[in-house]
Amino acid sequence: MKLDLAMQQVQDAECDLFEELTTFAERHAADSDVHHVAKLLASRCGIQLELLLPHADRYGAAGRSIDEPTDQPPDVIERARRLASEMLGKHELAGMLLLEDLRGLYLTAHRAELAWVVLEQAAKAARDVELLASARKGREEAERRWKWIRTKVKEASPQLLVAG
Amino acid sequence: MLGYDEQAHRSNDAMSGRTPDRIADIWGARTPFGRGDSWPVRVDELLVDGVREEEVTWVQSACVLCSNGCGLDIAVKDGRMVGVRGRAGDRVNHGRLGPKGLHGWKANNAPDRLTKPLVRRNGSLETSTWDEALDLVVERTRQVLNETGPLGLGFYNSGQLFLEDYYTLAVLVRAGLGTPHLDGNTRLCTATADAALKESFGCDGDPGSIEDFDLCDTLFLVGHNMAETQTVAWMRVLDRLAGPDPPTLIAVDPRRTKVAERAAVHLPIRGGTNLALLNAIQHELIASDRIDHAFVAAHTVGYEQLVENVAEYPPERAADICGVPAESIREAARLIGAAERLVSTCLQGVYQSHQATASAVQVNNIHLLRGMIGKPGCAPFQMNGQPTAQNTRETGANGDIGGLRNWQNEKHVEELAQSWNVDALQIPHAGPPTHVMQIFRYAEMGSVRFLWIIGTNPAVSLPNLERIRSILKRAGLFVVVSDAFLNETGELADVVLPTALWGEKTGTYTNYDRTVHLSEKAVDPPGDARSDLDILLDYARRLDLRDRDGKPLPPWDAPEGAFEAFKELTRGKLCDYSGLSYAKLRGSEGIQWPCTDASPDGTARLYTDHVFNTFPDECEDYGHDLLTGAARERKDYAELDPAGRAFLHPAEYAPPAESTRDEFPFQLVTGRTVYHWHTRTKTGRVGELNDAAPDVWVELTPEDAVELAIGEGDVVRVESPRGAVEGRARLTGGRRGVVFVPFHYGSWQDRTDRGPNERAANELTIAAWDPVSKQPTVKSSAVRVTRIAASGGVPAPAPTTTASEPALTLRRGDCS
Repeated sequence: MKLDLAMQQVQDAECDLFEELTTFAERHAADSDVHHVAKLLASRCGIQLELLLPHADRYGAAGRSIDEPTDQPPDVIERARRLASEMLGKHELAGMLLLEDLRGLYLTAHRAELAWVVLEQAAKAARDVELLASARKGREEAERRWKWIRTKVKEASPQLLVAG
Repeated sequence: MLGYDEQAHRSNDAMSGRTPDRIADIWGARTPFGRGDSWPVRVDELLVDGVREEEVTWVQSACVLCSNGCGLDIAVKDGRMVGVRGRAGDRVNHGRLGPKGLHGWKANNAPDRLTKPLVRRNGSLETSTWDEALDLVVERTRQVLNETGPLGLGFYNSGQLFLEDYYTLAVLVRAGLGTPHLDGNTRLCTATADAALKESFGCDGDPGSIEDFDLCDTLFLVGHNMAETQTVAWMRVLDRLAGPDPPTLIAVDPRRTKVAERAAVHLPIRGGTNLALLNAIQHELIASDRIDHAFVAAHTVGYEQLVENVAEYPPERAADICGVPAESIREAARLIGAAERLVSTCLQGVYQSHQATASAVQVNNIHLLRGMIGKPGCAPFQMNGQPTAQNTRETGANGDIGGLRNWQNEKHVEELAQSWNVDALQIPHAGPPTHVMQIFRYAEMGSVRFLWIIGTNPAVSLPNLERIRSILKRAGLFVVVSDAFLNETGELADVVLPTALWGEKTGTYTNYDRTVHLSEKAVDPPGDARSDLDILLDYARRLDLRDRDGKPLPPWDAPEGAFEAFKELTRGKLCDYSGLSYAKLRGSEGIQWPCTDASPDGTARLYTDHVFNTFPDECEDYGHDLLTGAARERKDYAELDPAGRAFLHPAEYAPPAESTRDEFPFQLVTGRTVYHWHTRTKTGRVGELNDAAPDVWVELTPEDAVELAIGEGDVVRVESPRGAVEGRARLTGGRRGVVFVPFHYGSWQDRTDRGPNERAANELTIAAWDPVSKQPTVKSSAVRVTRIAASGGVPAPAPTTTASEPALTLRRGDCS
């Protein structure tokens, strides 16, 4: 059994995606639409990892969690960061940066989904009903993320590439 | 039949020859009636002093100051409006009018109407001719078309134009110019109603009839201060409450509104938590098996997933999230579960709040679970805010594309192309029509360089105003404003075009229960002001827009032509207008669409056969993931195999974009007062309405006020990370931790020594919106409140007749 490996891959992928979503949200603070949803999805990566906690022990995998800063950053820093993003965000090229970042994010989100698919398949083969239920939940959340990114790419590209 | 001959009843005021006082006595005298009886007629009439009834000519119309759309006649004497009278036979109001309906028309006669176009020369707006102004607009349009293409053009219109104006605009923009950047300020009021109806039933269009309020035994009002937002609908409910067999009322609202005061259960939930509450109510309905299993099995999809989702929301969990007792949630669910005829409504407390579409959809779910839809006395109402909002959606002058068609469905787009006689590729449909906040975002980044704003005031009404102003002032953005008055947005424009108001042009509009009214031109517009339809057609002709055969586009040259063309566009669609005509609407009591040759009197209720508009070839939208707004594509939708069944969409609660924290410990809720409309462009110019609520105020609870050492009337400063507002404090009986600020007030008429931009609630609001409906979440920002100055004995300029009534009776000496 190498289910611990499959779990680790899910954990790695979720942690990567968390990082990328968080950076993305900050970089695109001026784009309120993607900013808020990206922050929300990042916060849900931790919930994804929690799905594995009840199963990790059984397969000798370490449980993991995401160290989200518990306190809000000081408002002065937040404001400075926001201001920088908003100033850059007024530039016409901010749109191209958005599209480029969405492409990168799409790949990371897909990598995470695939990790869940692998785990789900393994859980099926291992006939571990509880793990299977968790993996299915995790995979559904993982699908929602790339579908959202795809929607945003479809919405953003006409304006950026034709009117930019 | 109304049977108003035998029941005809004039309000006491009218009988005694006095003007009914809808300022102090907002809802007027009661005319009680029992369940299923006809609502008695009560005619509210106002004529200016000295004018006698026999001197006036009455011209048929309907009110445009809320989505109820009350039928009224305009009194004309010597070419001037001199009053109004509710139409006794109208199915919507049975003669009644509210404060804005009775007084609002006076704005037409205001001395500062715009009468000539204005053009910015050397930095200031100066009078010009129509030729000069429109040629300049056309020249800039051509320049942007040449340099950037159609995606460089944006249009933002209103929820108060007429169907004919909207349809002209939609054809001009979508077929003529070919840009997707056309939205309406209905984005701020009914975008979520539209989205929720599409998500659940496959198509826009409220299924119920206003008469369902006469028939219901239970009324569930979610985030809907009906007493102030739809005064005449509330009169109807008050008359039911005063009659035999009254309905049981359940109200969800953080404020102690007049609705809440009459409710059997009032749930003053924490802002932004509607979804958790509604999930818990469904949890209870399922736990107590108040489910119409046969209906669910035959007419819905998604029941298992819904059950799985709401299992996570026992009342105790929702009680934690929402901050109300679990027992109250259980009691509300028990009443809803016991209902035999349930009517529910949602308005801005849902639509402008966090997780708007996801929450509105849960109300649809409740009706589906109980099988209470498409039959008398049973309907979920996804309410509209504005009087003609329904028409922006139907014509495609907002985020839709015309005739309730689906932009992702090539066949639907081809139908539009046939109707407009243009190539389907000319009609932008690479993505959904662009919502207003995104249009402004494109303008901020410089790719939208021309923005025409029609009949709305984004410099006061959009969230995060500092940013909106900076965009409107951006060098390189050419701003055109069409309006009857020079408002805060007009001040920032390059060209201002004077428009005719309601009563000065002919057209139709449709209220939330699909009732279509005709409004005839009663008087001429002042000076050189012209109707929006005229202005748009003139612009189209000057641009020389043409169809495939070289004919002018749009092809009509008057309102009736636009109406006739629109009728054809809707033939066979859910919003079928094909059986209507101006002639038929003239003298009518209001007719509900669909109205066809087969149903010439209109249709009271949709989906009476419980076959919903969800077939993939027919539906208006393939739907979204309610949490993120990820759009479903056709294949995803077809996989769900709805085949005429409605959707039971589950949705999980997520925390709001901005939470309260130490520095900003209060939750800001913005909203309306009964006396005003939007940014007061009209109502602020009517003495009675203005005097009733002349300036901004800040509501907080007495408990919070004590902690902050704030007394009634003290001047307080409300600050968010984005801006500040100053106003006098009113201590009201709302929810602790919530601060309410009315959103009507901008810099216009501000005669205090506040800073230049310290009166508009939207200085504070966050730029965040619902991921599905794109409706700004203006009811969910975090703020702090500080005391600036003592009241000096002056109370807050807030009405005492409404939700802003003081928690304790104000006595002399109460103000510090």
